[in-house]
Amino acid sequence: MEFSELELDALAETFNLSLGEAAAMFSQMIREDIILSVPTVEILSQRELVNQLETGGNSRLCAIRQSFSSSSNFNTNTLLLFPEQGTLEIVRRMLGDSTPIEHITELEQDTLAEIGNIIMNGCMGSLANLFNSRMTGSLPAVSVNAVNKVLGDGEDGQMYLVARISMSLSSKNIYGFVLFIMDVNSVNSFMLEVKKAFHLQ
Amino acid sequence: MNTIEQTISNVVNFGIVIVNERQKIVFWNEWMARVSGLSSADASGRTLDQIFTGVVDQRIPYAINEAVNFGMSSILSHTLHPTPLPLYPEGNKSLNRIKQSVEVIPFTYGDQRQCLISIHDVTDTVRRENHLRQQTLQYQVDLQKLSEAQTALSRSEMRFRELTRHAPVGLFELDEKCRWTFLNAKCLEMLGYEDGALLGSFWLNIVPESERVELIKQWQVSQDSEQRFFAEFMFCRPDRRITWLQMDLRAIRGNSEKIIGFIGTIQDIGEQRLYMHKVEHRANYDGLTQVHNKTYFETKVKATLAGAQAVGLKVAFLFIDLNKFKSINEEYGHAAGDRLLKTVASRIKRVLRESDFAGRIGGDEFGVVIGDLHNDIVLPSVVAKLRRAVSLPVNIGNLYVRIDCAIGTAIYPAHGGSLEELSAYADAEMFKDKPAVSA
Repeated sequence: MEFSELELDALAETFNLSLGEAAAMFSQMIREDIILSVPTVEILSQRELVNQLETGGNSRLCAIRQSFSSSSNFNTNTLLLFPEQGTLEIVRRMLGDSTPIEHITELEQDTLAEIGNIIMNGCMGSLANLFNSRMTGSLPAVSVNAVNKVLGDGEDGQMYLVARISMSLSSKNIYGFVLFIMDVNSVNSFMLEVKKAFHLQ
Repeated sequence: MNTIEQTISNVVNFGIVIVNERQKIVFWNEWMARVSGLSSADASGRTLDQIFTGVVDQRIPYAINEAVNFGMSSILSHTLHPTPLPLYPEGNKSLNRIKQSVEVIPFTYGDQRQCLISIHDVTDTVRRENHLRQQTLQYQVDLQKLSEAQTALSRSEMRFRELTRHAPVGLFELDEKCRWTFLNAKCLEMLGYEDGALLGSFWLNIVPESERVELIKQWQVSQDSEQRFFAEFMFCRPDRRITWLQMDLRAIRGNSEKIIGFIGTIQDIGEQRLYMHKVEHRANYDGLTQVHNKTYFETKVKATLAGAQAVGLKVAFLFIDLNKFKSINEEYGHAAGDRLLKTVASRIKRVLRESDFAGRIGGDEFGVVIGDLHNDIVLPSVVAKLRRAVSLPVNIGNLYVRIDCAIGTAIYPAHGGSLEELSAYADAEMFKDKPAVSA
């Protein structure tokens, strides 16, 4: 599965548009300016992805997972990943809470689910709009786990469409990743829609 | 919705609301009826905004719109939306609103997009987490206090360590069984032991046996009277150097007033004692002859007389005057005269017993006291011994000279009750003796 530079550029721009809108929504929600980096897009195997995440020096990650199916013939599991400490910081900053509890609590998990939900719904809603297709999304689920466990057991040949984006909140840099897990057919269908949207055909 | 599904929806312990594409309510379960005070029949066909005019969190209609029109599921967390709908325990509006977590999920029924809204009561979870937060904050405060206390303690320990290190006296600690538990550097230096060599051993073990009996006695007294233990004793260091130590010890008592150890100081008073001894000697002894000077001799005579009076003893007072000492001084010089005086004095001392004493009471005059005179026969023998000792040849450098003396005696209480009376009597006796010797 190989794409031309032009196709990958179009893919990056797709996520730039959709995640940009999602981030704007999130920014409004936490009443704080968020600076987003230009997303980089890569297609990686699970092993390659785990290696990359581990290289980032994060021992535990917080994942917000949602699945979407599109009328344009692609299904995806979306994962929003934050380092656990950064996640706690986001949530507690939003709540104005300085309680030094080391791990995320039940209610904080719910809050995080809603944050991820807003970002992901915003992103997928923009994509549906861009592709002019219908989208159905599940409820988000939150899990906190070691890097090599957070992705779960990947199926053979499963590819990860990885859009990496960094979010900067005030003085703190909190990096997040948005992953789109698709099988080969879904990736091809997704790229077809991207090419249509950017008139690459 | 068929009967079994409806029945289940009505027995679950959370709210279920189903709205159609136009956001009108098509299902309202029993839980919702209970907490809103509004029956299913009253709710049907209306929107949530119409039912709860103006008090619905606007994220709810937004999420419903996203669900029925764009197929998106949404979650409304309690933290960001504490009470999105005005729901009360058992519908009682005088109580606090139920804390909620809401999920909005789209589904297709027939050919219609509808959406399911589930509302969960998280009041207990919120209470639990608030409690957890309060506890955590309390722990943080406690931890902070503890950490401050530890810092203060460690500073105080550091201060104590530095003070003990630089203290000019020996500081030490004993446990309740009087075993060494701590000795500062100065203490070890004074005692002449290596660091750690004494720890755990009984403190009296380092004291010479000759001193122990007295110290144990003093220790017992201090223990019985619950007073501090203060003692001066001779100490022999491991390097055989002998010195004197002064020890001051106090008990440390625990909460129940039980002794849990002792803390004390040790000072090396060896040099101090030596100095005191020298000063005392200088004050009481004649520098040339090393017998008592006149002042101390008289004091001692008075004390001896008082003692003799108390127990009814006889005491002899002797007055010795050297004959022709002046001519020896003039003929051979003062150095020869001094040498003669020294020799005579040392001979007088040699003749006397431990309980007797002599003093230089004039240039060439000596006084002698014979204490505890059992019978009068002893006295002539002592006088004869003194006369012989004085009259032996004296080496004054390059030649020997001889000198005689006149001796007058007085006996207490027969010849007087006071120093003055005895002195006058002996003086007169001495003068009687003088011509005879001169002759």
